Amino acid sequence: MTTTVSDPVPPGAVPDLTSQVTDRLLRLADGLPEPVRAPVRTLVAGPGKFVRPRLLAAGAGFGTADPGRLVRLGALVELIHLASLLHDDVIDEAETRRGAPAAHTAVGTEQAMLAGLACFALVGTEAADLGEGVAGAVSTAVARLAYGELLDVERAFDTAFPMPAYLELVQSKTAELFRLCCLLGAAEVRSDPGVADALVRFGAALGVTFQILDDCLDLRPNHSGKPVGTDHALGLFGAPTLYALRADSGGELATLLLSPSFGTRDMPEVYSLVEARGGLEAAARLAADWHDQALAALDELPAGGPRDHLAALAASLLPARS
Amino acid sequence: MTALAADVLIVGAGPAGAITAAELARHGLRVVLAGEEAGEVDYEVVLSGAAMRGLASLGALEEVAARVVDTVELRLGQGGGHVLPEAVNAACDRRRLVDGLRRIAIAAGATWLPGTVTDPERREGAWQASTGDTTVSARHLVVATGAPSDGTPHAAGLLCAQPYSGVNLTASIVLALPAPRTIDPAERPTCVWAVPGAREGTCTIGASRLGAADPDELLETARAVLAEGDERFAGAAPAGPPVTGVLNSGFAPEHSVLDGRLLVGDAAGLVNPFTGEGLSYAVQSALLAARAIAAHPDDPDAAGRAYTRRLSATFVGYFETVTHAARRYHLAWRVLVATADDERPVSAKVRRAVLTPDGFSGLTAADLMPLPAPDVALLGPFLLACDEVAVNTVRREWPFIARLLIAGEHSPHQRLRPAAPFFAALLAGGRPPDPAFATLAAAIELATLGALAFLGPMPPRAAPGRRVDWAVASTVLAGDFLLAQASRLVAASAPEVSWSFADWLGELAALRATRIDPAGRSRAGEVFAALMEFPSRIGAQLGGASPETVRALRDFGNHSGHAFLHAEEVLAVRGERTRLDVTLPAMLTGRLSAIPDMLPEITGDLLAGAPGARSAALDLAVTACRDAHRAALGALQNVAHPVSARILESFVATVCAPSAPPSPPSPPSQ
Repeated sequence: MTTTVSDPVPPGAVPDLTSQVTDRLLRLADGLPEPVRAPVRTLVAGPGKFVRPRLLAAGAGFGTADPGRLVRLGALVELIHLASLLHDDVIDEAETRRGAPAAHTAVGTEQAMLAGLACFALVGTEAADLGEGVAGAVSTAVARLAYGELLDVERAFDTAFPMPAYLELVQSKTAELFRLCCLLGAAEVRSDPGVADALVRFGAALGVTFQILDDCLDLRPNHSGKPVGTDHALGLFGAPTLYALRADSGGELATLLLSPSFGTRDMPEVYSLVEARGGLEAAARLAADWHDQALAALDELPAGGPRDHLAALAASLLPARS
Repeated sequence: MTALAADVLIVGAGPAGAITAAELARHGLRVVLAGEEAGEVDYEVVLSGAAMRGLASLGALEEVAARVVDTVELRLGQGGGHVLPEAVNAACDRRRLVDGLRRIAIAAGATWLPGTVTDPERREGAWQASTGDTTVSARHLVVATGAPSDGTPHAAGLLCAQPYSGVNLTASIVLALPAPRTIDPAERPTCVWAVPGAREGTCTIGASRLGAADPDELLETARAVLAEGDERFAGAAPAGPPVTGVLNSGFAPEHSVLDGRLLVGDAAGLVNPFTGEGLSYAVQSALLAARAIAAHPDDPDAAGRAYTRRLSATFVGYFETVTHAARRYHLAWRVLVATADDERPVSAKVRRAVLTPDGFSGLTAADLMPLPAPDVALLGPFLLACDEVAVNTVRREWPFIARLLIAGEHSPHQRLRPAAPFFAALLAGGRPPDPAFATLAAAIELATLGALAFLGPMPPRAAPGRRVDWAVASTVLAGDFLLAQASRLVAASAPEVSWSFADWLGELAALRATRIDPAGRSRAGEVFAALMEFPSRIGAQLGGASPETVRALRDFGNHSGHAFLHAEEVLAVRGERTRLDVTLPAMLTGRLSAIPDMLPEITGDLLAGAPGARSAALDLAVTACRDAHRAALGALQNVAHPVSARILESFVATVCAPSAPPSPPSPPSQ
């Protein structure tokens, strides 16, 4: 296992959550049919940040949870994420994922697609096993994710993608799963409605902030981990670029972005055009707005260890605000 | 001044207005049809199957001198031409159409008032308007004045048509949707068509485009697109002046009644945004408006509400998402063009669903299950409720998929569809089925469609370059979207089934993954057996059937699934259209068919069309289909409920019809 992330362990929490979640995921993957087992195992074993299980566990900190169920729920939300990654990589034709060849390059497009389908099915049986409430919440969230996936493909190369549509996309594609983690965490410990409601709003706003800042990373030079400009090459322009395009009266940036020969080598120029048009600054403001909303929701939660833990987790997830 | 009192005043005397008038007059209402005399330039229009059925219901096909054209050639992108299967269309002279329909309206008893009509005003519950020196007063008002020039921005565009000569087009209508030139989603599709004229060597060439366009440029594009690589258009020369009109596809059911006025046809924005075709919708909406008024002759508000409801149920899939319309059109256009040469089931169905106005059930072909009337009366309402849930679940977010779910215009309850055995299995326990299970039935149908996206052969990858691979992307998107929506419906309506439902999807994935794995051992029919087993088994369980009956229905479902695959093979080997719209090569290379497993040595010859190989394959498929049929009937021995058994018997007999001996003839359907 290559997981190295660890959180300070608040009282009552699962001490080695990420490794237990990984074990659970590997056990689930073993139940998959032979041809799709290997790609799912590779993905599970790759370096992940386990953002979603950690958020779920932190959300459950406002009560007393059964550690075994918390691990299963953590594995469930991570599995939703993995299933989406498998299908996203098929659509985007991504070469690598988590440092290894992407599943579709290893086992072929059709098997990778079926591996994603098998994972989504596993999400369904696992959610149903964990209770009717879990199954309902999970199926609603997965439906929203699928819609987000659609929005993300149809907006490819759209240099006039309006901000309200961008926010709808981000809320469906990224924030929905953050929201689900908080919802499941709160429900698991039967939080009172006020706490659950604030947690869910916190999760949703955190998810939007996370995605906007992630968009900014795609522009930033010398960021390690994933090749810079990947999303731009795919025609998926994030918040800074979309803001800059609105101020692109000469059409220079749009022309560059739509060029058939566009590649990651063009990113320094994109960066300077976006910067000059105030895109990064506008996106940072938007991220700050959503971050403030997340913090305001956090403030509504009862003060103490669980809230501090959640605040620390949120801070660790978000790259430094620029 | 002459004063005329009527039940209904119709303003606008084009096709939509004249049909509304004729249908209302046939219902015995007093109708005044008012509008300009036809002064239009003459050109040919297409009458789709839906338009022809509407006109036939008025006995108008001969009156308007419609000429049947057997073939629709579809040219998408750079790909070669397809012939759209089973598309029955007609060509018709536009002026003859309008004149003929007016004559029919007058013969039915409508009063025809030619001339300019003043803007109708409503006073004390009656609409009043005048033409020349005649004033008309009527309780109901129908507006059929064509597309408004100030249409909704995202849905407004230009339509052009021009008569041509020097063309060798006789037996087909050509519909072309050229490929996008750029990756920019701001680019708008242009649709081009050609309809043969009554005189040899003539045709009408037309084009439509959403967004701003120049008529001359548009018509020149149309001619060039048609002439490219097609000798028949090489000598095309204009034979008359061009006609230009506004394209308005901004229909929304809730805007179809405006301050008490019922808008029909183009006036309601009922135009296919891809093809510019509006005549089918004009015919259909005119009939719907007339029937809504006839049902509420004394209550215009109720007539308006009924009209809106009927429109909303009929026109699914083009006009749903105002905020996202432009992006959804762009998505659909790219997918259509990218999958132009793709013969997989889902692509073929999407093509038909998006480009043709005829409703049809997305899961099956036109086969109808023969059922006695009392069984139809039992099954019908359940399936209608199922359709309504399914359509409403997807129409807002992905309207074009909703087109796959409308079950056609006639006999939706007799179609081959998974909801039918599900309903029969619910009945098997002896209790009347809970209507609430219609939601689960909808989930099963959505899931079946979604599963087909994943279980068919994959489309080939697009050529490398900076682009979206629309064929692959849309497969994944459609599959994920439909399965997720289906799971959501299950969790909301029948949570006790959530686990089994997800387990079913997992089993389908596993069976297909094993099937395509070179080292895997999985029979071809198993995927289809699993696909059909679930509705029967789960229906029996929910209906409270005994364990023996549940087992019997599970076996029945399995055998029907095998039978379905073998019936597909029979049709494909014979070169006929299959239920899934899949071709023989796609079945063989996509590892759908059992033939290569049983007769590996003949697969090459079969692909090459060798008669010996075809006859061996046909024998194999027919025998396998009949065996599965017999096994399914055997399983039904343990289903005691007579109606349940009868519906299932009819279902599997219809599935297996392609393998049945040519005689005896099947009993007439109800």
